[in-house]
Amino acid sequence: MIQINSLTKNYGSFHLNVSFDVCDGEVVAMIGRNGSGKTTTFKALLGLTIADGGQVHINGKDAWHLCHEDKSSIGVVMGDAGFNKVMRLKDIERIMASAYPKWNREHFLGFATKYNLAMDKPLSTFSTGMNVLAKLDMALSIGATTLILDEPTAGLDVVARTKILDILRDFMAEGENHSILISSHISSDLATLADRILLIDQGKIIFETTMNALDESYGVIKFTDQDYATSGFTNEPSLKTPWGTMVLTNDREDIRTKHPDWIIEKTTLDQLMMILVGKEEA
Amino acid sequence: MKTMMLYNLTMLKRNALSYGLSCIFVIVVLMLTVQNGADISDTLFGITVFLLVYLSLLLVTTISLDRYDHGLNQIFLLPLSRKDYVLSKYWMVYGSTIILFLVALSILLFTGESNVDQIMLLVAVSCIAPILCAIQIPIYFKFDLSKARFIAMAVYAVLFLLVFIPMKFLSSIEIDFDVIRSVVTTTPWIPLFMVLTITVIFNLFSMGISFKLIQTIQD
Repeated sequence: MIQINSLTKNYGSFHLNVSFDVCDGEVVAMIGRNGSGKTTTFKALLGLTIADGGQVHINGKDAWHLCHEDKSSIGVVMGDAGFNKVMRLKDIERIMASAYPKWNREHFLGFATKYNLAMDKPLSTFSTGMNVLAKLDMALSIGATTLILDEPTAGLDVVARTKILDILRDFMAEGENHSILISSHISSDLATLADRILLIDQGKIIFETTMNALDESYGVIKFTDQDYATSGFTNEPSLKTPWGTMVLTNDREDIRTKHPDWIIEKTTLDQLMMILVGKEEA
Repeated sequence: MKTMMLYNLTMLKRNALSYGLSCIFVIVVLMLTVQNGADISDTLFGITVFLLVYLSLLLVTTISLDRYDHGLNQIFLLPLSRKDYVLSKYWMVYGSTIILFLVALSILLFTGESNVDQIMLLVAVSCIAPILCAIQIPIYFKFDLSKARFIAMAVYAVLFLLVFIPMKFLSSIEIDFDVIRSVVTTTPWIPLFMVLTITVIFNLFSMGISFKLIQTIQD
């Protein structure tokens, strides 16, 4: 379980201030534009960057003062960080086996074989997708119950992304106490994986909901510009598009009943992001 | 610590092709010079100094390689402290220096050219790598590779001037160097003790700075 309370970090004009938690058995996805604060949140909660304030607890312990054993229960994949690419997986296997008491060599080798990751070739020869798989292999082989994944699918094609999401689903199915905190700016990746989403923008979580609620209650109403002006929804979150205006609602079925002639669709994460944070770019 | 030593050794192994080639080169030079009648101990000292200087450069370069592609983040995620990471770099220097010292000593003993003075000189010469690394390691923690190289050179230049200017001054006031020379010759343990003391002080000071710097690194 991850609990984050008023985690703050300031870089010049950028101010991060977030609070959220990730319960056991839950996949929480943090979505947002590039530069919205996802990676800063992850680095600050992991102690890789020095936070200006707040508290972070992972599995009930202060995340910035975890003992070595507690660190072993957290698997991390940072999209932009990894071992030096001169290393080979067989080198990394030795290092990880020495560092982690619960290191599962069979799992590591089995995963590498399954996904054709060469043990004796430098990481520099791996494709982007293979590098992510190698990082996931490391994170999954330490016996972790919590995975923290920052942009693991960035730069990957749809086949590789699907493969990685399947691996994460398998991880969740393996233990009731397993949990994942994952970030991505490719929101569609997370629609079928996450239980809950957090939308971060300019260092703040501006929207939070469960995927069930998103699926059952939220919707977008599509208006022509003329209809929008008289719809009575002009104060709701909306986005102007080339064909008209999209309005976000959290009362989809009720509105559908009252206005059967309106075009109302289920909300996708992409639409949600565009309406809530994409306004100034549209 | 074991993990970090394993990590450092792997990084050295994967980046040490040039060092390995240099070792082969100097061994060939050693064999050729000795075969042509050169003094084996002089040749050995020259080669030891070369290898120690080269080794110190190679070891500190691994810090820059660790930082490449935000690699320090990956290292800091391992279940070990940042202090362990710093200490491992210093232990690598000491370990490698001891190995080079023992190899050079074995050659001296094996060739029957050794005496106490030469062994003491070898000990003093072996302090080169720990001193150089003590200067360079904090610089490489603070700056990236491109800047660190220039700053290290600037620091060496300043240190050289700090030694050179007082020496020049002492020679200008006509101090009798023969007296100093005779003290060194009759009691060689005094300069050796001074070199060892300087090495220890430099390294303790360097470790203190490195421990502080590593806590502030945000890769």
